[in-house]
Amino acid sequence: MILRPQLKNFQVIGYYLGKILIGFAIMESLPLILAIFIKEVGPAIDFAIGTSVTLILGLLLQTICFNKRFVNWTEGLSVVSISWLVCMFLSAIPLYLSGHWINYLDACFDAMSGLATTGLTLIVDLDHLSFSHNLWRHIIMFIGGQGIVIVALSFFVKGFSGAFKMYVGEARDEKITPNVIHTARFIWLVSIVYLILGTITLAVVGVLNGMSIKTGIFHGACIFMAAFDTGGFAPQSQNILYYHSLPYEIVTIIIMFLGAINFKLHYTIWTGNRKEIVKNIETISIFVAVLVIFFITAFGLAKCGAYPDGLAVFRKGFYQLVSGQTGTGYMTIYARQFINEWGNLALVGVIFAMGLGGSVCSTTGAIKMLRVGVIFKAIIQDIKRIILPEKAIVVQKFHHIKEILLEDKLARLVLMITLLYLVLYLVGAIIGMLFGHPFIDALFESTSAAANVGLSCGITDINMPATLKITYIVQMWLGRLEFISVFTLIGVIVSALKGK
Amino acid sequence: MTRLINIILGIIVELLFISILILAGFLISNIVLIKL
Repeated sequence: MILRPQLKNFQVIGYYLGKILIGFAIMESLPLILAIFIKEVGPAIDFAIGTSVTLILGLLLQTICFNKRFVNWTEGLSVVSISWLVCMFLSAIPLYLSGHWINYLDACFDAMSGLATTGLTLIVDLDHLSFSHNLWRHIIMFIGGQGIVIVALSFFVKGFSGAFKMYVGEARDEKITPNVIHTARFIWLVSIVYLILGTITLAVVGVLNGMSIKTGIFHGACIFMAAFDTGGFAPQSQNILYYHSLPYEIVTIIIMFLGAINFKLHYTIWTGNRKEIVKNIETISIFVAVLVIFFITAFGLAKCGAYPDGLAVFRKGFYQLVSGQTGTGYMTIYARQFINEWGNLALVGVIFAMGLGGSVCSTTGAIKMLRVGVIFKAIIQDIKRIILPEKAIVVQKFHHIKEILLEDKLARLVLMITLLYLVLYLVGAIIGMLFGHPFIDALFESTSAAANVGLSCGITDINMPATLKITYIVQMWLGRLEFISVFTLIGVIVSALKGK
Repeated sequence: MTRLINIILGIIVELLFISILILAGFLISNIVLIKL
């Protein structure tokens, strides 16, 4: 029998959602301050409206739903999935008001793309977007990369009971330190340290390439935020191709990889256990996966003669592959070149890279390397069970910060999440095919959306049917939260409708 | 002080790991193209 949720359950959800929205409103005030500072009057009004709506809604929810009860698992996971949807609608308001998105759905698409660190975009005339709106796009990507709840946990909200339940709901199931607030703050420490280093490096490269210091720093900060959070938004419509610079490409490759590293691994290495980087199952898996898949991709590119020399294959092929594997979505080619020049083998390589993804507890999406490594180990375990004598006890371990025993329960969980991702990729591809796209193109775009990558072969476009836009929004949402919290929310809704 | 040194060394180790990966990618780009 399904139990219908009670009013007090919804009150708890509403109360914590209110707290998160207040934190979100404070973040939304940053582009407002910039707009006032640099005298962008129209954008300042857009952000004043957007911030006010978010703040009022947050305060209203906190007042109406006020209570001091601890959040339980169902409520915590529901708060996360709802807050991501509500934040999408709210962060789209200033975007839509800018006039650079044809309709509110397109603004919501870009907002979810930013929050989920995907990078697919439906903006019109990005090159003439105001500084403050551009900053907002990158801030929502940064917030989404860290996790909306993480942001609220770290800075804006005090006394957040049940924080771990919401932390888990944002697909961060690893506690770096015993205290989840300290964990959230460590994530910020890593991000801020690399933000400073990355922005300075990109700004220097930009200035050496002929940018002014102001533009160099602005582009450096924006590109860093989107690369480290494996997002993929860029301040210019040509994306990374705009810079035409090998040093810029190499620096962004490094930042993308840094973003794809598990924050727990950052913590372990930064606290003195530096050998962990060569022992960890995730780093080994990503190393092998990137090189094997790139070999396939490079082979495909060489077969179809897409590029004349090794450097071009590296700058186009390796860059797009790393961008896909880390879930960033930065591009040094035009979208249609995937279809027109790359050939199916190279495309399949990139689809594989996108589908597998980076590390767990990082800013990447997709299946992720820990799961790939565990599946590989589980296969070895099963082969051993078959070939060894029946009485032999097969013990399989893997190294992830410490030696972990591979139990059937863990293997089952990993396979379940992996299967859900594969189904999500396939469902999106089928819907894409219903709108007339060839299978490989539809699978490419669907995987890109569901794995929160942002590479596009040209399907994502302002003229795309609304159904397809909504499909990709749902895929981005599900992919970023790794299903569980969204399924919990669906369970709550179903039990509210059908429960007793 | 020890903490700061650990962070700096940690960053260097991470950058070294990524540099090796990038170098390997560059080598594969050239090898595949030459062999074909």
